[in-house]
Amino acid sequence: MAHLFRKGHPGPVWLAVLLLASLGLYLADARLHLLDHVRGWLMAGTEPIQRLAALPTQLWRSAAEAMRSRAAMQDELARLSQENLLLKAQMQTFWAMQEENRRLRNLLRAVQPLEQDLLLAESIPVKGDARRRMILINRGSRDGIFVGQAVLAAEGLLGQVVHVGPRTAEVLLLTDDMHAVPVRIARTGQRAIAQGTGESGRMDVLHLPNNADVREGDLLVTSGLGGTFPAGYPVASVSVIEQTQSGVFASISARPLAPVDDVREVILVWMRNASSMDIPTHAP
Amino acid sequence: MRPDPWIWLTVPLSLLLALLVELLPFPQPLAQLQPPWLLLVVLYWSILQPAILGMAGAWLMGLVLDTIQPSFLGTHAALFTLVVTPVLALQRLLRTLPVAQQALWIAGLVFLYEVGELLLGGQLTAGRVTAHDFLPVISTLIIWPLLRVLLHRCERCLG
Repeated sequence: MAHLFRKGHPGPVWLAVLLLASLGLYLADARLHLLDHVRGWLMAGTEPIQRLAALPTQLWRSAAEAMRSRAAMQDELARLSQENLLLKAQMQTFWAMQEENRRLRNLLRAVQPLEQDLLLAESIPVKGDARRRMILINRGSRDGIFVGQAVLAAEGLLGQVVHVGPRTAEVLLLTDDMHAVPVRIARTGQRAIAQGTGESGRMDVLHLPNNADVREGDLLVTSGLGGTFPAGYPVASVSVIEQTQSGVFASISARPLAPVDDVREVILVWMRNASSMDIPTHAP
Repeated sequence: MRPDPWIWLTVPLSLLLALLVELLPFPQPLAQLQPPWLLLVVLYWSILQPAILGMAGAWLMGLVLDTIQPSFLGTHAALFTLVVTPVLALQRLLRTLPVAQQALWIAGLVFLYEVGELLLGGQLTAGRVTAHDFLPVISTLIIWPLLRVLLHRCERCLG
């Protein structure tokens, strides 16, 4: 294609054409969201390069894994099987409680909670934009991943899917300064917004008044408002509270629970109406 | 000055390599120092072989970066075009400059590129700019002479 542009001096006409093309692409992508499909194809094209660039890190990791001693592995196995046993014991009460919850909600004719499907994915270790908090994962539209889908780590909420290719997807982490999560304080139920700051260990909690009942260490969970994130997942714990002298709102920071700096495995969430027949059709 | 046929292999290969290095996840202090590899290689070929990539080639490379990085489509494409334009216009001058002066020119362009990235990414207007954002300018000063030697070698041993 370079032959096309070889003749003559690279004049201002070409500059104008290319800049206009960029502007058009930008408007279509950022403002009109017309290019989600195009972006998917482009991501399919760049996927081999990304997989290739991830190879050295993956080799290094598997080498480190292979070098571990037998004793260390056995220790970990013992620890994991103990943990598994404890988790299973907790799950027994969980099923009973879920059943009880469903029955009580039925009695109250309240809306049933949404049921969730989960899928595991691995992060592909490539560098993105240094100024964005993003990761690439090895699942895409072929696995049913969609834009806006919630992504979890074992410890808590991790972020949401922003771009989907056929076999890869980009996840915006909750510490990115363009990311915000509707949360509530688990202890009091008060609602707020947890906004990323671009720093790895800090989020800002917005819209809580100076006299709000907040303590350090309070757990923030997703409130489910806005519909992007399922309700009730842990997000962050409150770390610093400063009452501002001027202004109505306190300045509150929180530390995300998920390990945003070193993400290896993530969990993708689908929400679905479990028993839509139970939802009352008339207003109470 | 007619480019020999091998150049059609060298240029895409070097661009692909630059893209791979751009994607390597370096540990944190190094990651901040990473110069914009792909842009540097594009600039090298714009100075040495302006007929091959040209403005449209630079635009296309920017678009590739847009798909790999989570930026909106068209942002890096526009930035690459804008940075390459003065280089193509001043190509004869830049080509004859000594290495140190050339590195200064390139670092200046990388500075403008970083400012453009911050502006289009919204960090400049949000006031989230730190000195760390301009570390690539300094690393470009150091990397450019090395990159020039490396790419020149490649060009020679293939050509």
